[in-house]
Amino acid sequence: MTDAPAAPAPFVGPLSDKDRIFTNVYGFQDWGIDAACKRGDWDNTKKLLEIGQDGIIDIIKASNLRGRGGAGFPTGMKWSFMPKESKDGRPSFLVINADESEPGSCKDREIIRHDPHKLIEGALIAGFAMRARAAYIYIRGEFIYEAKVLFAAVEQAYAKGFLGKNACGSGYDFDVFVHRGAGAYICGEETAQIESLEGKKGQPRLKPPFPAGAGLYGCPTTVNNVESIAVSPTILRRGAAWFNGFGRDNNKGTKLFQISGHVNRPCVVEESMGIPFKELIDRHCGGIRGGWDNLLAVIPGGPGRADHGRANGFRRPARSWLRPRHGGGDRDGQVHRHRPRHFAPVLFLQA
Amino acid sequence: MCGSTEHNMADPIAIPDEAEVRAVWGGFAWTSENAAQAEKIIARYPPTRQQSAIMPLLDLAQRQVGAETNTQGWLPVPVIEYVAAQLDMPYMRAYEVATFYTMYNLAPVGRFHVQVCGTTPCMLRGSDDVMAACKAKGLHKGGTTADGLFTLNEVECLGACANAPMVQINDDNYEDLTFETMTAILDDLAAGKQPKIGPQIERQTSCPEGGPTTLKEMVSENHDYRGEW
Repeated sequence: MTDAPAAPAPFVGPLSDKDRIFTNVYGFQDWGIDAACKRGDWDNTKKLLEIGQDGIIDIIKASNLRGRGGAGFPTGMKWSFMPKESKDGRPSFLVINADESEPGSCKDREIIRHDPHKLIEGALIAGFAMRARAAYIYIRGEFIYEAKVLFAAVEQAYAKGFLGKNACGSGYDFDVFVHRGAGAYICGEETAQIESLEGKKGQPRLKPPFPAGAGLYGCPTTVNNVESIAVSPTILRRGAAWFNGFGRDNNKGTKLFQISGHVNRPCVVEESMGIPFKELIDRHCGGIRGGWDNLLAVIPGGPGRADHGRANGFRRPARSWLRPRHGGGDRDGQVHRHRPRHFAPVLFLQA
Repeated sequence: MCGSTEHNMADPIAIPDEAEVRAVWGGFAWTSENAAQAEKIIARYPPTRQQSAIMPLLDLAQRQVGAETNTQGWLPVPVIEYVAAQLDMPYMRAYEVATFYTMYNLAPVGRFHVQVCGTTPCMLRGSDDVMAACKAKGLHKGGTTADGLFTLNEVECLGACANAPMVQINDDNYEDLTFETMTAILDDLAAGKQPKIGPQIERQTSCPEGGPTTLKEMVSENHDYRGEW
């Protein structure tokens, strides 16, 4: 009998600080371009662009980055759907979805207000890789302060020559525009967002045609989440293998988690994909209010769902995380299977 | 808009009488500063695609109406017509946008537009107390107080769930609220003072209360972690 070499155990956290992408996630330091450059943003971006359009897409594919907006579509594959050349003169567009509206899943806000240059640099890299003419960042209207930061950060990048004609000295012309929404949850859906960008009601379109064929203004368009775009420069700098070294199969990399609800200390924190649910809560949120025995339900969102279900700490598969105490009937004989007790500890987890 | 009864989302919005509104707003035009800003906004979109600018221009118009009335502004019909004409689009297309998105006010609001988030993450952490603090100060949902200071609305998730419960008042978020801190904020605003924006407890943005569990070097210096890669 020959033993196949054992696969290395997956790294499931805790992440060390040097492997965190969003180092200014809490805004202790300035978001501005000079401070961001000292943290490593816009560091020889020209060299990253010299990897070439197909080379960048290959690295993103190899990193196993999946869309951070919730659906988890492989990002590199999505970029590769864009046309390599325009046969009829239509330009291509990148739309960045900053319409973060899903309750209990708010982590892009921290990127936008505290590390906006990671997003803008990522917009250039992603836009270049998919041969886009420009990026529109669609930010929800209620993020008023965040939009102010983003407008200012884009202006800083233009002033330094990082955007616009010959962006970063690469010979590639690329513009980034910010578009504010005005209060519509549905505009987080990609075709509704495109409609809204065109100045209409945000009503989803029928697919096909898919945006990569006919999206914004009828031109080839890719819509990506803020975090998917903002992590791409760091993946290029550190290599696909680095990013791919975190997490379990099918869910690789690092991730901003937002935890709210009945934990002792709600927060947003960047951790490895695949981190056991219990460790995430105990390490960063001070545990469940009143102790773990109180926990009745977890409402997970996004691509972290499956991973946390397998977690060693919270020993239940994802499907049974909703754990109503009243299952089976009350004293009055009525069944309230899905009505949790008042003040039942419930928490929101965005992964 | 002032009424003592509770406002329900299904209720039609009380739009002021049209002739009266037209008499006041029929001559609406950009201030010179906003005219320049409008041009800058339109330039963000490709030529012939200027309709894309309708949302930012309606927002700009609402802010101008707000500045002229010392309130948070609203969109009278003649103002929507003015913006639609500038973008060379039918009035009805602009009106559709104004009615579709919740941040456009179709009726006047007060000087402070208090928007309490009542969605589940905020509800779990005490948005009922925040709403109770508003009601104890005489605010009522869907209405403006008699002194014209406060309009109260309950809104859906505003995207600050790690700092729940929260409220957005005009352009500012107030987070990690209790009954007491919400009361203090309303008192300060009524007294013409600017309350502290952001978390109302000892906490840096969405960092865990009591200090970060990660990236501690960043608290005191703009640390560059690349040396440790």
